[in-house]
Amino acid sequence: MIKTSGLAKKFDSVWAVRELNLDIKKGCFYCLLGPNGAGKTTTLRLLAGLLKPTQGKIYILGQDITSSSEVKKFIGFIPDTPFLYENLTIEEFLEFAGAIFQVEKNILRKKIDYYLDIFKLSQLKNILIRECSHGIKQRVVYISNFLHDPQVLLIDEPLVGLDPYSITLIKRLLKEYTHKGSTVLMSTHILNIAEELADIIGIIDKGSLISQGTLSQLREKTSQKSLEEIFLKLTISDYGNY
Amino acid sequence: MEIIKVELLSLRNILRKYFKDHPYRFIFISLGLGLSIVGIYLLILEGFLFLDSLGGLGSILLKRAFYILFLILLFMIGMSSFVVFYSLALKNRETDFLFTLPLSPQKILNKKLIQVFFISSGVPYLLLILFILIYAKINNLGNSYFLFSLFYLLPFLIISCETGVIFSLVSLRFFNLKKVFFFLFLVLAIFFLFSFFPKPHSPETSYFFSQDFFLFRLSKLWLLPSYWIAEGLLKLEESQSTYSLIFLMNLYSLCFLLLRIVYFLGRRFFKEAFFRQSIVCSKKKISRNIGDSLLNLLPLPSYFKLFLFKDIKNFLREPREYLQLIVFFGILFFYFLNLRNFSYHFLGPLWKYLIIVLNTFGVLCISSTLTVRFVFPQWSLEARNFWLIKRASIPLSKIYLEKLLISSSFMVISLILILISNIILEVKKEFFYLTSILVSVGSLSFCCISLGLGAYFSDFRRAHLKAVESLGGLLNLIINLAYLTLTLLIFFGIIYLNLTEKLKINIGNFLFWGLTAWVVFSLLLSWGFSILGFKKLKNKEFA
Repeated sequence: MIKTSGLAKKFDSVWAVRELNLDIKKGCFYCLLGPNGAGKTTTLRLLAGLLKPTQGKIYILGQDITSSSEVKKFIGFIPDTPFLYENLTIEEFLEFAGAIFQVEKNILRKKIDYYLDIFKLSQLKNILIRECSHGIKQRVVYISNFLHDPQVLLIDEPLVGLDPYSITLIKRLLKEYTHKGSTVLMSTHILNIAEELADIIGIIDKGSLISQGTLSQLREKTSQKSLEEIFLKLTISDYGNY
Repeated sequence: MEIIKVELLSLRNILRKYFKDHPYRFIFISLGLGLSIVGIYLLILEGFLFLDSLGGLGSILLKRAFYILFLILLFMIGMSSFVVFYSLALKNRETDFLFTLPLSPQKILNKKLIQVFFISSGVPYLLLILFILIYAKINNLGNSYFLFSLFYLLPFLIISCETGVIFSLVSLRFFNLKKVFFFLFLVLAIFFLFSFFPKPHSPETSYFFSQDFFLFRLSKLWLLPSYWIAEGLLKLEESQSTYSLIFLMNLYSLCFLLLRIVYFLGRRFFKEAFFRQSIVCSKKKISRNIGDSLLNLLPLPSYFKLFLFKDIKNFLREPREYLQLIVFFGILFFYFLNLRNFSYHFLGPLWKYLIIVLNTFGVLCISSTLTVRFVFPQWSLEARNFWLIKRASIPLSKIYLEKLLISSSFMVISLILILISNIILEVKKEFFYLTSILVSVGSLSFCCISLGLGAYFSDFRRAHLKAVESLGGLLNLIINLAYLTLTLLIFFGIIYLNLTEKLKINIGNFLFWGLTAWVVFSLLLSWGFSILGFKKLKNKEFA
């Protein structure tokens, strides 16, 4: 589903991502972990087609993302600071998002109603987005990305500003997505989310993927028990003295 | 289609919401806008009637005005499109979002082109409609002339926008923006230096309207679309429809050709240019430079320097900000470039006087516009950072003072401009002092009014601040214009009556006492607005 070969991105003289080789299979929940400035956001923006790779190739569903905008129909992208049309109502924005992804009108209507209901936004659907709190905006972004049933979902820092109810709901929905065969690639700082949801965990530091595998594989590799210890051992060179 | 619909829905929602929340304010603003249009109509009409009263000379001036107006519009709309396209299409979070959707770059470009067209040429189109309407009325050309001329205006405005977009796409794809502007600045500076050598003055009045005049010469360049539209409209007036039609066809052909070029460049460069300008991705290392060292030498308290650094750097690192300043002063630059060609000494006293009034009015107008655009939003721009300022141990009054000092740079620029104008024109001593004092004190007052009102109306709880377009911005503009009109009416009105011998007073005495009273009034006004803004700012909440 997601494949990169020798992917690299350089900003002026700084390599944000280097020699990144990913091969994420269908139905996999992949968590990208890394310290601040490790290159997680850049990787996700490269995969979403927002940045042009300096080197290497990106294939999503077998198509090169840099040359085809058609493949984006099957991708959902939730950035860390998402953009919303502030002067639209929640419902209008969702209708726009569905129409852009060519979701059939009847189906779109049902889906909007369904998601507004489970995200507890039905009462707020006619208010302007600019008047919503950060958490409500985040929920709207999630719904807009669920409407077209993406086969690949890219999420950057997924749970910022959400209340416990929304977090539980989103975790459940994301897991359901992967069970249906969609692939989720998520970058996060919250280690217990990764521990709970991820099938594969990738640890990135200074632009390079330093390790990846299932949680048990990472435990074996590092001889550490918790993900926190694994993460610290892999990303801090003098972990012994830490 | 959906991406266009979004904009229309947003506009409808904004108006609906505004009307619902502030019905009286909505009506007040709508009435204000309507009255402004009527005011502009009457102003242009008065100008035309004045020129008409001059007889043959007025007729020549009017025809020249056509060529120059369209040339200036071509330049201004082109520049404006360049800036608007850069900020709307390339340095914009919406574009970022649109690129994640299954939309081809072509579709995104289409949307941005439509936006650029409306933003850059909407107001000029309205003004041109008024201009042509009055021109047709004065010359008894009938409604058909007015309606036909609308077909000429549309391709011309599109051409102007396309030129800016093409320039923007090519330069941003291949060059660093700073280098592009440095290069342009260098070319203009060299051009200015070389054209500054003195030329012999001609005693003939007709010289002013001759082809020797740089701007007239340029406006009559037959290769420029501004020449085609001016010539086309004038030929239409003279009932030479065949010639007029040729110019119209020229305009449409060029419009479609440029559209093809925009699409061709868009296919090749739009995405590339977007990648180069992407906001989040830039991780440039900015080193301390000579500017920092020079600022450090200033004998100012360290906290003062810190805020000074912050404001200046924020301004210089944001092309959208400094480009507008370049556009404003670019227009004045061209104006002053031409001043030296005026055979000022051979003009009658009334004409001499008119030029001085116009120069002062021009500089004060620019100063007023710039303060509304740049000084008024200074507090609002602090936005989310205001909590830091309010928590700091530095008194707010000192930060207020720092902002006032930075704003006063407009006063210095305005003063330099009027001094250059006065030196080039070698105006009389009393007018030299009068205009210099009017411009410097006037500009300072504009700064204080804008900064005070900006502080009064800023709302730190809102995430997206649109300070200039708010009611405060409108009020600022109205107060500035009222102050400007009052100043000019008092001084130049009385001097005019004295020159035309309709009022006999001792002009030296009037200037001395009048200026003293006016300076005191301006300082009181500035102080009043500063106190008003400062007191409100002290009690403001922030999110």
